[in-house]
Amino acid sequence: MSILEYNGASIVAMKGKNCVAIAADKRLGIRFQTVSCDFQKIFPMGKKLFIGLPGLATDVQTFANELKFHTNLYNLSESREISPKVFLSMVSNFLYQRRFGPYFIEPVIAGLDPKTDEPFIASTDLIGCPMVTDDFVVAGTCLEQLYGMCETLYKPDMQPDELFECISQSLLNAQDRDAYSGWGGVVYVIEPNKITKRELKARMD
Amino acid sequence: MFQSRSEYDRGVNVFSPEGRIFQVEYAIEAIKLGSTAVGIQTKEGVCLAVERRITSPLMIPSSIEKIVEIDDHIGCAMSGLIADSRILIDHARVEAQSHWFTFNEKMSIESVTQSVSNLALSFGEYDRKSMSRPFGVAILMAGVDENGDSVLLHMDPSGTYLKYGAKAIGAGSEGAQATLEEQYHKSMTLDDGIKLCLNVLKQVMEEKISSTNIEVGVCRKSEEKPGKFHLLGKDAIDTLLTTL
Repeated sequence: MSILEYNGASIVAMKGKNCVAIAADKRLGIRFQTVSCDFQKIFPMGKKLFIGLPGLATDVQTFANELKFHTNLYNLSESREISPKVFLSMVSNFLYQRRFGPYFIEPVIAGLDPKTDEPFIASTDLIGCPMVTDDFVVAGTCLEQLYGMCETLYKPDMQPDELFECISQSLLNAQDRDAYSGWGGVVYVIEPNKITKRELKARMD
Repeated sequence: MFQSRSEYDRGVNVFSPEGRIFQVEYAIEAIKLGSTAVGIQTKEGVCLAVERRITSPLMIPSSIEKIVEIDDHIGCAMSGLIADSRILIDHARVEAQSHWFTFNEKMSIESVTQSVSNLALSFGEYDRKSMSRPFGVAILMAGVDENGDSVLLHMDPSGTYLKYGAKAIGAGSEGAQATLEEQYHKSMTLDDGIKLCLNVLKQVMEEKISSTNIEVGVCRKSEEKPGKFHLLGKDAIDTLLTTL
């Protein structure tokens, strides 16, 4: 069994019309034993930029801190907010620097460009190969189920509330078919002048 | 010029009782011996021009390089101890490439200058690699940022850097700066800027200005994106000089 599946997680990000959403489950487990139902997997990296980190929990926390460290430095030295595109390059670089002893995480990035508010979603694998998409990105232990749900429910140019419904249904129905993730969910909808965080109730079994 | 020059001007990391660091001030004096360099920033882009001092007819003028490229979108003109500037230039080039490598975007002019200024200030530190004295050069860093802003920055040996609309450094800097203050305005076109640069150089140079004894570098903005920084060829400078 892969170390990427040791703690369990599922994360999905979707693009709507002038908005993006990112959602994650809340479970922290050790294999099949659930330890916590309130584990943070989505981290803010800017005013309108979030990263979701599924994978080995210890690496999730270390990597989130390391990224925050470097984005803060970037914001100070460049005196502007980091754009999602640049952030993706940075993440991809940091992961590839550990090519032969990687962090066991598969990041999902969602955000709006700080200047143009253009929606952006992307993901990378554990050694930093970037993938930028126009519709949705998924990662985690129930990746196949998430793909199925997203491919069924997603349609382009959704409004923020529609996008919230779509991403929540995708996440909840996918994680119900996965023993490693679930036990609640959290959704961020990012709009040009508003960020909404919503907690989802889910099956607790 | 410094009344209380005493043993306080020996160490690079010793303040005088009046609160001055003489070695840094002397380094700034060294710039005034260098050849004149002029830079102008306009909305359409930036230009740099320097004089080449040809001290012997046997010298090959093109081997004097006082305007160099840092990255595609940044150029740098210098005055003072040119050998010292090599260290700063190498550093700036590495920083610009490393920023591009990690962030996949062009490094801003200000960030490049900031990193050079960090190096300029690191003299007198107790490690083998650092300089034992301040760098004896001033530089004009010019280019167009990724967001389309054209920027001209001046840095002196103390590591202080400031943004300018137009700036002159080197032996003829006082006269040149006065002319720039008279004739530069924010809304001027880049072509007018280049002409003003050349006019200023023409005024302050001892020799007659020609395409062999000056260097001109230009970075023109194209459709709100950074253009490429390039040095003008002999022919291009000749045509410019005929219009003066």
